[in-house]
This record gives sequence, C-alpha cells and structure tokens, in this order.
Amino acid sequence: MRVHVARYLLLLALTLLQGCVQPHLARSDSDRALLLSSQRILQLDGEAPEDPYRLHLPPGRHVVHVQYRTYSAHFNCRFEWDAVSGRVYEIVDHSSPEPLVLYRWSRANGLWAERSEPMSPVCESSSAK
Amino acid sequence: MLLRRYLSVLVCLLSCKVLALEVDTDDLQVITAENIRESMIAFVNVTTGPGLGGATLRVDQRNRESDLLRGGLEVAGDYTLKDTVADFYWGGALAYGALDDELEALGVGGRRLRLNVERSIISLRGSAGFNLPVSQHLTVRPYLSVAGSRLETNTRIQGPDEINLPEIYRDSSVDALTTTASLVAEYDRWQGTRRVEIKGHYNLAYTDTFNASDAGLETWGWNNTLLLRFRYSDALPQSTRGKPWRWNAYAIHTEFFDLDERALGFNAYHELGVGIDYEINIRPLNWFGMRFVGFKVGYLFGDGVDGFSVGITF
Repeated sequence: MRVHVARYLLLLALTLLQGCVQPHLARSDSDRALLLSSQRILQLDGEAPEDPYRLHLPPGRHVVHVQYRTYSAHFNCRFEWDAVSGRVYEIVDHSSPEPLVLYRWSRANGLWAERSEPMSPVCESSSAK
Repeated sequence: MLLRRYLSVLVCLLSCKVLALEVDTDDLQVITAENIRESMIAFVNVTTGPGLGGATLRVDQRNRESDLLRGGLEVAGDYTLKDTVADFYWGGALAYGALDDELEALGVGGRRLRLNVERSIISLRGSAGFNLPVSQHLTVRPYLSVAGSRLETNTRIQGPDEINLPEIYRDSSVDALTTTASLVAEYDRWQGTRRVEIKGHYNLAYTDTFNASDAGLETWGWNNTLLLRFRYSDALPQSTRGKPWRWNAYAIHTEFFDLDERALGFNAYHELGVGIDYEINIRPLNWFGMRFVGFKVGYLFGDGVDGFSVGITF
C-alpha cells in the first residue's frame, strides 16, 4: 500500500512538472547563432558586448573571453570556434578539467534539451585580490 | 499464577514503555522509554538524511536481527547568480524507509520477551543553500533542508518459545518534521581523463514529532551525521551517440555521532562500490543540467552490520 502511495506521489510530481511548467525556450535567428553564458562574457571578437550573458552572432569564426570567478582566483577563458547560423551555444561551469565548457545546445523534445560537441577553452588565472 | 505475573509484566511494558534489553546474558542493560523514542528519531535520521543513498542494512548480532531498507528519488541543481561568485543550490527528495527489527528483551520482571518492531517512513525533503567555489578544485556548500515525514510502527511482543502466551500487538503512527543544516566540502582534481573526488558531508539535524497516535511518541532529538567519500573515475573507450561512458570506484564512511548503538544496532558503516556513468548531458525542461546517468552497486559493512546498495545515479 505504502509503495503504491510513493509511486502515486512520484507520478503526480512528474505530471505536474510536465503539465504545469513551460520550458524556457532558447531560439536563435535563422541567419544568426545564439550564445548563452552562465558566466560574464568579457569580450566578443575584442569588444565588450552589450549583454554579457546572451549574444547573437553572425555565422563564422569568433573569439570570446569569459570570466570565471572563485574566492581565491579569477579565470579569463578564451573560446575560439566557428558559429553556425541557427544554432544555439552555451558556456557553463561543469566541473571539467578547465573551469568552463562550451556546448552546442539543441532541443531534443518537449521535455529536455541536449548539450553536445563540448569544447574546452584556454584559461589564464589571476589572484582574486 | 505464572501466567498472571507474566501478563502483568507485558501490560507494564506497554503502558509504562519501560524495557530492559538483553544485550548479553551477562550484561543486561535497561532501555527506557526515552531510548525507544531515540530509536525512532534515529530511524528517521538514518533513512531521510541528506546525502544518504538507497541501501539495505542487515544487523545480525546476538539477540538481535534487523533489516533496514532505505531509498528514494533525489534531485539537486545549481542556479547561477549573475555577477556573484556564489551560486544558489537547491534540492528535493522523496525518500522511503522500512525497518524490521527483531530482538530479545527482558521485561522489568526479568523475564525474556521477543520483540518485533516494524517501522516504515515516507518523507519529502526540500533543500536550499549556496555553492561557494573557494578555488577551481574546492567548493563548499552550506544549505538547509526541511523534511516532513510520516512514520508508522507495528510492534509485536511474544513470550518465549517454552511458554505459550498470547501475542500482544500495537500499531502507532506519528509525523515528524526534520530541519537539517548541512555543510559539504568537495575537492576534485583531473589528470587527463582521470578524476579524483574527495567529499566531506556533515549534517546537523533536529527532529520534532507531532500528531502522534500515542502521547509517548511526542518527542524531539538532535542528530549529527558525517559522510566521507573518496571516488576515482576514468573514461571508458566506448561512446554512445558521441557521448562517453565512464567507470568509477568509491569508498564511503558514514558515522552517526551521538547515536546509541542499541537504538538501531549500529552507529557507523563503510561502503565500497563501483559504478558506470553515461554522460547524457541534458537539461530537463531546460531548468537544470543533468550531466551523468549511471548505475552503481556497493557493499556496506561495519561492526555487526552489513548490506548492499544498488542505485541509479544522476
């Protein structure tokens, strides 16, 4: 009986998650790529961006510098890659060998999005003080 | 005459809740009603504490045999706070636990009894706190959890085999609210594809019971729990849909401080296990990242206790 109650609660929770929550949508323009970052983007192709967390990029090769901060050190991480129009990219802190990772973000279905094609940056650290 | 005296002892056991457990025939120790309540609080803590995964534990000691099962579904994630070093941490869990405890006891009259206690608990927990990256490799996470639990207990008292006495049954239920302050320190280091993780997890929990079917179950208690984990993982040559697989081996030591060993039959154990993870790397509902989905199996052992854990990890 108690097992059934637990299963019912789990099913109810999942149903509520699926039915009542509108997933956040990340879309790029068909002629541009979209770059989302959980950390502050310091530079895009040598210039400070207007929005440091969300950029629309023309297709082609780009260089972005992203800051990752800890209480003891700050990291300046450099990504260089070819952006494809219509695609979404995402920079996240992922407990990887380097502090940040760039992924290609794509919607798999209505329930989840997928991260693929990881790319590591080149990072330089400096003291937080 | 003997029967009447024996029944009077049983009635006293139930009304006064005073038991004397036979830990050793030459070393009898008295357990009071307070010890019984402590046992209940300990069960709540051992089955619903943050950081404790699914497991079965079997206590096989002289005069005591018990099986403890715990499991659940736990999710946790980070929410990046822009322009701050700290990240917001959240978590939630639906936990279930069951205990089948059989022990021999001495009534206050000095007569041997057989006590069978079956407990079950279902608990819902929510957690919130902060991830504080001290360095690239070290993160400290303080967080608070609140868990509401429903605990049900069936108690059966029997006489010894040589005397045919009627069994006495008692059912009880109680709700519990547990507030836990946790501090987690995680250190990790990569070398190529190999990764070493060391984790310390301390819980300080306060549990208060209410809505008890029996006023004697209205109680409260503090628990301290420490988990230390070492984990080594490396990449496997296989990949699926372009995403890699990893294997891991781990060792965990769990210590329940201030827990009287008589409450559940143990107050510490170790776990050794292996697992395999697939880097699925998805974002359910695009809310939070789920990087790995894996399977693990572990062997648990300690002083008079052993068991195993099997689980899906993510």
